Amino acid sequence: MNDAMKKNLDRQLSRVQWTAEDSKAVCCRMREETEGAKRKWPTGFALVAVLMMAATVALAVSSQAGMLDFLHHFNAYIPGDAQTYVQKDVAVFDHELVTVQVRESYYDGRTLRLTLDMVPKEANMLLLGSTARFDDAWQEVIGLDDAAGDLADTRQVEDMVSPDTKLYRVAVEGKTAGVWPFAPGQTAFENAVLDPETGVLTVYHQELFSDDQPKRTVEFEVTLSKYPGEVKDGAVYAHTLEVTSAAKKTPTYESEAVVDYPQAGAQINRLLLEVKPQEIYYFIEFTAPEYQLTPHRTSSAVLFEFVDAASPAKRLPYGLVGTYGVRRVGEDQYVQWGTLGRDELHDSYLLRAHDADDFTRYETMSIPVTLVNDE
Amino acid sequence: MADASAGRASEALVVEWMAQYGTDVKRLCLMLLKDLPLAEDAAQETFLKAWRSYAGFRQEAGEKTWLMHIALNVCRDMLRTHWFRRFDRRITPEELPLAYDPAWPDPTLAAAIAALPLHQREAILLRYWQGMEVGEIARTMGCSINTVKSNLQRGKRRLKERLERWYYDE
Repeated sequence: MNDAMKKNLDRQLSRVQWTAEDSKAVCCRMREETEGAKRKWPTGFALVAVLMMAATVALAVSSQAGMLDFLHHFNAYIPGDAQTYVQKDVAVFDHELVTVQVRESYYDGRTLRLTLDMVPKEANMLLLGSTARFDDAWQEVIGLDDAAGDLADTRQVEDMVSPDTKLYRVAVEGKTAGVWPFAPGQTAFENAVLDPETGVLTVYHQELFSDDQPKRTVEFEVTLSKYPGEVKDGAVYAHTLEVTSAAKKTPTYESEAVVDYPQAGAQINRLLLEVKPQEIYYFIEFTAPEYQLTPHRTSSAVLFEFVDAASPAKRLPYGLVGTYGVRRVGEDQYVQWGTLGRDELHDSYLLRAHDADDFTRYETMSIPVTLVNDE
Repeated sequence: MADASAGRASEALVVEWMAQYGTDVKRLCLMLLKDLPLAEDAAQETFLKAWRSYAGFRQEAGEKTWLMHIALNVCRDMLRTHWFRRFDRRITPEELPLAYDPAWPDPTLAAAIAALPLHQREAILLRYWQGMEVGEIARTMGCSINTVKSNLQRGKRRLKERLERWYYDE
């Protein structure tokens, strides 16, 4: 089996190669870190550390990870003042098995972010994230940055469990009405980290909403299910929060004219940007009449990426939502949405189009934008 | 070859690693993540993490084992974050249909492996593709030898069901 598998896989993956561009990207980042040229992460991190130290008296679990720790972990761009928009000590909900402390919240009209501390009621309870398994590495359960963990520590979750341990998986699920129209089924994500000293599981929860509302009543459920066991048999705790947008206003920018991409076979009808406190939301409305939808391709055959005008080999940093999606809105008509780093507001943007299948039809155009709404 | 002031590897050493192991790391990341752009990010992140944490590298593990261990952790981490961002979290990554990717012109074997549960996929790839011994895989995956054996056994059983045509035992 060895040789057959190796030969087959090598043949099937022969087009995937480490490239000079890969090496260049790694070397650039090493140099940036070494020279301290790219200071945004350390600055943001230091700010979090200072603010969290200031909160130690108020919070029994202040050593737990904060919202920006989780977001830092996602490699997104964090503005230097991001913490100032984060509300602290939002609410406490007491339940039979756990106390749920909403330690941090951020809401900007479109996105909700929560840092939830799950405080166990019994000393022998071990709380884990919703997808944890017995063979998960312990270092990954207790650490957000696996590279900072002890590589020599090969313990697994099963090694940490004694006969009297009550093991639970904890899941958080948003229940608020309003589906993000550009990403059906992609409305939420979560991550969790355990503080082994206190037994508190901190869960980061994020939701995207369909419309921009300054105030919203949000509902979420926390489910504790015994592991091993079925989620349906778990204890479900419902919660309601009233949240108000941290965005006092949302400056909105639009492109001035239709932009053709003849080489890539697409046309941008409008580029729309909404500036929020922690990121910039973008919406690229485009047509791609040359491409047919196939079973493999259910959204769009063309994708766009924002190129850094100062360094064309790089993309502009993503915003904290950290992903993008494309929705078909009509015959040959699509909207690609996503977020950029909040400080990436420019007079014009270099937008590179490429076909999503073969990556052969690249074309880059400059698109100027103007302020259309400052409310 | 280390930068003594920061406990980091020298750039020359990282360049050497990338030349020697870059393609293997990138392909492993693709097989684990099933997404080429994510795999590129993961592979680059692997070498950056190796560079930063060189002081913690214990030479007896072997460079390749150590790098694969880091790559696995980077990919596991991405699966916990990116998948949750991009897909309904009631569906596990293993249940999702394999996306079309031009890197896999004949996806039969790759698709069968990619459809395995993550830990079985890791074990199968390290054993039969990277040619690692079971003990080495245990160190790479951060688990016990018995766990590796169990994952290999279960993974092979699933592959055999799907790939009777080419499958044969060692």
